[in-house]
Amino acid sequence: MELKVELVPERMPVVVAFAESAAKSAGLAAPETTMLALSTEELFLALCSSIPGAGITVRFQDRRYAADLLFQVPQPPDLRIFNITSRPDHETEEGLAEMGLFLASRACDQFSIRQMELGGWEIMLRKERNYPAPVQQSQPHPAVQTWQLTTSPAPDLVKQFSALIADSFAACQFPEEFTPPGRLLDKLASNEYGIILAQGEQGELAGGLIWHADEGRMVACFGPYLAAPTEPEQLTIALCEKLTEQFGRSNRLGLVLYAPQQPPVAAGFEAAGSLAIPGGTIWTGYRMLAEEFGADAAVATELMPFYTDWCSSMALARNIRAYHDDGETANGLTLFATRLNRSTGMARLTPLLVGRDAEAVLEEHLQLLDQEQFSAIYCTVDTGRPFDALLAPHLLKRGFTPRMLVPWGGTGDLIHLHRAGGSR
Amino acid sequence: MNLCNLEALVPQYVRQFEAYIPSPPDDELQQMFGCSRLIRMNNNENPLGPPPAAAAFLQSFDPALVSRYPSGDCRPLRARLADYLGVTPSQVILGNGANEVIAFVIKAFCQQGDNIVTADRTFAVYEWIARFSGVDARLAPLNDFGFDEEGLLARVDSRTKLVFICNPNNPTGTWWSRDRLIRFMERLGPNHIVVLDEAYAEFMDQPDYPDGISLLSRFPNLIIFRTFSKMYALAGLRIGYLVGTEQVTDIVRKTAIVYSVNTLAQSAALAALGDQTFITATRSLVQEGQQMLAAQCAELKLPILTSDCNFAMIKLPFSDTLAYRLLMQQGYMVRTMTGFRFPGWIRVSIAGREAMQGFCTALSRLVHSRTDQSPLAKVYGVF
Ligand SMILES: Cc1ncc(COP(=O)(O)O)c(C=O)c1O
Repeated sequence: MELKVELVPERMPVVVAFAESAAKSAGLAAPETTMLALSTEELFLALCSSIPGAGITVRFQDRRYAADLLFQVPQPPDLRIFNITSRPDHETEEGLAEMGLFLASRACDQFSIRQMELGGWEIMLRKERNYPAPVQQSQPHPAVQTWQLTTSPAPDLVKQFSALIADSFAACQFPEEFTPPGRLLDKLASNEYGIILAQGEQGELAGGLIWHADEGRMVACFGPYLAAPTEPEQLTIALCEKLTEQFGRSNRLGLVLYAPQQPPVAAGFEAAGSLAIPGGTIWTGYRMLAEEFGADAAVATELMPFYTDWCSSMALARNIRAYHDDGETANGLTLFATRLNRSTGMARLTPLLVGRDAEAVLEEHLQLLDQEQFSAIYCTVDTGRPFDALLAPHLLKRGFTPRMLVPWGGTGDLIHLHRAGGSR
Repeated sequence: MNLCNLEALVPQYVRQFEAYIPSPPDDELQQMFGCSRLIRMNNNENPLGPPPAAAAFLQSFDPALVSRYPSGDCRPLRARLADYLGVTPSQVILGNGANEVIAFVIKAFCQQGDNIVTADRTFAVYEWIARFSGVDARLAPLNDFGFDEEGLLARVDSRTKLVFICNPNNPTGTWWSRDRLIRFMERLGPNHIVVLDEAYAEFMDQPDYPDGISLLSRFPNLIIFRTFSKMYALAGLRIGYLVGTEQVTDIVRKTAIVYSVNTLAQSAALAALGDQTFITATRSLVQEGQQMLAAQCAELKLPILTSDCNFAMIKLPFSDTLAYRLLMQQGYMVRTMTGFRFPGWIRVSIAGREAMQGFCTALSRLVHSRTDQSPLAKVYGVF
C-alpha cells in the first residue's frame, strides 16, 4: 500500500485514514491503531511545517508483528527537526514542529530515520501488535543425547522454545520480542527472523537460536539457548555452525552473536566485546563470513587504544589513521538517526551527519532520553566515516564507553559505545 | 541521470545479487597484512608454472602480433584438441576460462522460470551465473562430502535444464566412478543436460575415474568442461573449453562469445596440451604436498580431506575466516570454506615443497596459538 501526498495540512485526514486502514489490515487492535494514527498526525504536521508543499510517499509495510508506516521525503527538510530533541518551544511554529515529532515518537514503538541509498530520507513509525501472555508453562526438558537440527520447525516447537527462553533465562539474556510465543511466531513469519532448533530422538526440544537479518550487512544472532543436552558444547557448536553455513554464501558480511554464555571457540565466534543492557551484560561474539583484504580506518585519538587492541585481537588488517580535530570545517550540522524502544528503555543513536554542533546536539539528545527514562543508550561510530571521529570525544565525556567492535558493520568497522542510565 | 530510474531498470535478480570481489594485488595485501612475501594457496594454481613448450612460446612471442585479432573460434587449437580427445573440432568450444563456458551453457539452455540443479557445497560459479541470470539454482546437500545422486534427482523437475556435477568436486576432492556416473545418467534420462565439470581431470590417477568424453556417444546429453588453468598452469591467460555432441555444441555456439580467447592463450594452450612429462611431474609434486599436509594434520589432530587434486580441505577448531587473517599475517593465503557452506574449514592449494613446509609450520603455530580466552577479555570486562 502506498500513498502519494503533498505536505499541506489539509491533506492530513487522508494520511491519517491511510494509517488507520493500514493498521487495521495488519491486525492491530483499536488502541494501537489510535496510537499509530496519532503519531502519523504529529509527524505529518511536523513535516508540513518543515517542507511545506513537498510531495512525499507514505508506504505501509505489514510485518505481521507490527505495522510500519514509512514516510519518504525526497529532499532533506531542515534536518534538525529529525533530531528528536526536547525543549519544545511552544511560542514558535518551529518549536511546535519539534514537539510534534517528539509526540509522534512517544505514541509508537519504534521511531527511526535513515538516509535512503538512492537519495532522500525515510522516517519510520512502527506500532507493534499486542500479544496475549503465554498460558503454557515450559515443559520439563529431559536430557537429550543426540539431536537433529531443523530450520523450519513446527509452530508448537517454536512455542516450546519461546517458553524455554522465558522460563530458563534471565530477562536480560534475550530480546523481549522472543516472547510471548505468538509474537515470536509472527517475527519468524516476517522472514526478517529465522530460527534453528535442535530436537532429540523423540522430537523433544534440545535448544536453539534465533537470527535477525534486518537492513545492513550484519546478521544479529541470539543464543544458543539450550534445554538439557548431555553435551552442551557439542550442541552449541552444531547450532552455531548451522547458522554460519546458512549465511556462508550470502551477501552478509558477518554475524554478531549475543550469547547467554560464551560459546566454545570451536563454534567459530570470536569475542567482540560485551553489551551492557538493563539488568546485565551479554557476551558478544563476531563471525566474519568473508575473506577480508584489509581497510583504512579513521579513529578518534580517544578511541585509539580500544580500537587497536581489538584489531590486534581479531587480527584485522587496518591502516589506522588517528583522526584529530584540527578545527577544519565539518558538515554544517549534526544529525542522529534515533531508534527508541520504550518498553526496554533502550535508545540507539546513529550519527548520520556529524558537524561542528555535535556536542550540543548530543547533549540535547541525552537530556531528552534521560527525561524519558531511557536507561541504556547506545551510539556507534564508523571507522569508515572520518567525521564520526569528531563525535567520539563528546561521547566519552558524557559517560559512554566503547564496548564492542563489529568489523565491517558500517562503511568500515563499527565501534559500539554504551552509556548506562545515570552514568554521566 | 536520475538514479531512481536506474534502479527501475535493473531486474530484481540482478539487484539482489552481490558482486564478487576478487582479491587485490599481492603488494597491497602484503602492505595491509604486514607480511614481507605472500604465497597464494587459494586458487588451486600449479606452482610449477606452464609446461616448457608453453613457456618457450610465451618467451618468444612477437608483440607485433597482438595488433591482430586472434582466431575468432580458436580453429587451430580446436583441431588439435579434437585430435587429442578423439572428437571432431566442432564438438569443442573454447572460452575465456571454463568460467565463461559455464555462462555460454546457461545462456544457451535456460530462461527465467527454468532451474539448474547442483550440489550445495561445490564450485560456486554455476549457482552464481544461474542466479544473476534469473534462473533458480536448486542445491542438493552433499552426502559424505560427495555429490548425492538421490538428492540431485529429487530436485530435478520438468523445468530443470542443466545438472552440474563437479567431478572431482572442488572443494572436497570427492568423485563419482564411471559406474556411478552411468547409473546416474540412466536414472536421470535424456530430458536434461548433464554438465560434468572436469576442471581437475588431469590430476586424477584412479582407474575407475571416468573420462566424460568417452561417454558422449552413449549419453548425448552430456557436456564436459575442462580448463587450462589448473594442470596446465595457464590460469593467467584465461582459457577453458567444453566438449559435447555436435547437436549440443551447435546450440551452445549461438551464445558463445567469438574472439573472447586471446592469441597468447590459444597458442600457449596448443603448446601445453598433452605434455605427459609435465603432467607426471605435477602429479608427483601434488602427491608429496598432500602427504606433507596429511602428516601435519595428523600431528595437530585436524580432520583433513585429501585426494589426487591439487588442494586439500582442513577442519580447524575455530573460525576459518579468522584463520585466514592470521595466516595472511604469516604470508600464506588460503581459501576460507564458509563461502562454500563449510564453516570452520579451509582449502589449501598444493604448492612447491618449500612453500608447503612453510605453510605446515605456520598452520602448526596458528593452531597452538589459539586458546579459548582472548587476552582482551580481562581488559574490557568480557566474561
Ligand atoms: C571446478 C572448477 N570449474 C571451473 C573453474 C574455472 O576455471 P577457469 O580458470 O578455466 O575459469 C574452476 C576454477 O577454480 C574450478 O575449480
